[in-house]
Amino acid sequence: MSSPIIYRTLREKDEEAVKRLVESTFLFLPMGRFWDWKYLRNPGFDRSLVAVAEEGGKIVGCNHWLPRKVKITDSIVVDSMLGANIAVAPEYRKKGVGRELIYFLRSQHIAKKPSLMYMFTDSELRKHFHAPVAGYVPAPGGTVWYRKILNWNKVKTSVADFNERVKRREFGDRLAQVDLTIAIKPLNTPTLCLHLSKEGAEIIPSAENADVKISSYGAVFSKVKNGHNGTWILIRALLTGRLKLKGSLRKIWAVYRNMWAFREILSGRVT
Amino acid sequence: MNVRTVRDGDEPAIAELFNEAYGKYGGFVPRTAEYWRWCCLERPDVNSDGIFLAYEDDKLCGYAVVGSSGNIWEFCVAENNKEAAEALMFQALNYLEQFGVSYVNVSIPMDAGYADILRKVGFGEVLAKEMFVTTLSPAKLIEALVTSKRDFFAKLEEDFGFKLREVPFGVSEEFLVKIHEASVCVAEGSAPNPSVYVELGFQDFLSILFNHSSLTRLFLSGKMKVKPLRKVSSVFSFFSNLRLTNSWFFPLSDFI
Repeated sequence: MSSPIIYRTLREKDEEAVKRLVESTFLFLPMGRFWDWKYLRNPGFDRSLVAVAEEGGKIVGCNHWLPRKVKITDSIVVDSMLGANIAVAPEYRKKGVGRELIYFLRSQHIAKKPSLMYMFTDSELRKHFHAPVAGYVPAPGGTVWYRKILNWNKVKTSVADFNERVKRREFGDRLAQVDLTIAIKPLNTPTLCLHLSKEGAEIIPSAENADVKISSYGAVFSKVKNGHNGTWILIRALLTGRLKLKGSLRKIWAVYRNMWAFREILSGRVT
Repeated sequence: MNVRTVRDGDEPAIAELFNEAYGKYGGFVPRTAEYWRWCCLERPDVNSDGIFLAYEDDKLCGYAVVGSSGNIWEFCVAENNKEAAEALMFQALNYLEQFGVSYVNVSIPMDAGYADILRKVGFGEVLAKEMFVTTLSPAKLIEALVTSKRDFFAKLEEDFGFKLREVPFGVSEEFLVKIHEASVCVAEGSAPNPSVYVELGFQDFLSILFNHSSLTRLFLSGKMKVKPLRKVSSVFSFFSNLRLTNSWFFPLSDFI
């Protein structure tokens, strides 16, 4: 029989395990240095604001709160808590550990009751986890994230993943008749040239023989790539000249029909 | 326009510029020299040669904190100074070349006047993580908001009793707001004889305050109940005066 999971506050001896868990969960964080900086060296760090889930001496989950002052209007600053990294070891996920970690910190600090708690996540995770457990709603909007692509190195990984899925026949016969080379050139960004065939996708070094050449502003490219009302964005961008297509109509139609494949490749972590 | 890298002692001026440039927004941690030092200067992927300061006539008019991971943690210019934005972005992109990163990320306010500079050099808008809010004490949140609206509450005389449905773990279901002779008292618990009783869902309550839900729609759909009904206008004016109408901006440095 496995031991019960115990929820408690962080102790100094847990720090290495918590650090490993956080950094292996949030892969985009700089490994080895991030946790120490964000928590240990943080002027507001307080061990009692970190909860851990322990099973038989092993740390299987953690939840961090960070006290911060946050401006909520042009003149009001409130004491708040950032609901920072919640991490649960993969084999313990979907068993309510994350929820219990949240409840634990709430019960420990019931007297403090910060007037504001905030966090950053994506809408889906908020809808399915954070809203039901803690009642989170969207903060007022006003922030825009911009990205400039400097090279397409990470597309290589996406292409390899896509090809694995093609091999596993996840897409059935959807690529059976496809033989298409497309060159994508967002403004002020290196060109990405992809060949799509029944074997999968391949990055081509030269865009010279591409069947279709697409040039656009980065913003248009991002929107099309992310698939927001894709057709309308495409039409609007074409009509306003923000998206330019070069190629025969037959090939352009083929690109449109196989847009799903390009989205599969490009909607992952392409940069 | 002169651009140089950060030096010891620049922190107070940087914090001042940040707070001034984003003064009209909510949603961020106001900078102090100490917080900025931890948040930017000591960040694992930031070196002092990646923090650029732009000066116009010896006055700091912008700065950029560029991490070797490809994130521009803070990109701040005074009064939407396009010249400073362009000079800082040029330095940032130049600096990042040596690290071979695949992308550069930056967040700016939605209405920033220099957004076209970013588009011009090849930046595109991307979907990213969003900010979400909740509270452990609706009463404390209301209290914080009320303090800036003393003038309005001088005109109102009511004892509001609020009951929130579907409250998350650890949150009180009830709180009261007593407004009499320009003084406002907010407390957790039920009001013995409120002049107005308001009942609504916890998330609807937050959505009203954070300006995502329409009061009229909540009332007409029965999601917000008011007793007695003739006091609806008091409830509407109470919430309308408290709701947060300003935009919220958070730099990447507040996100991670």
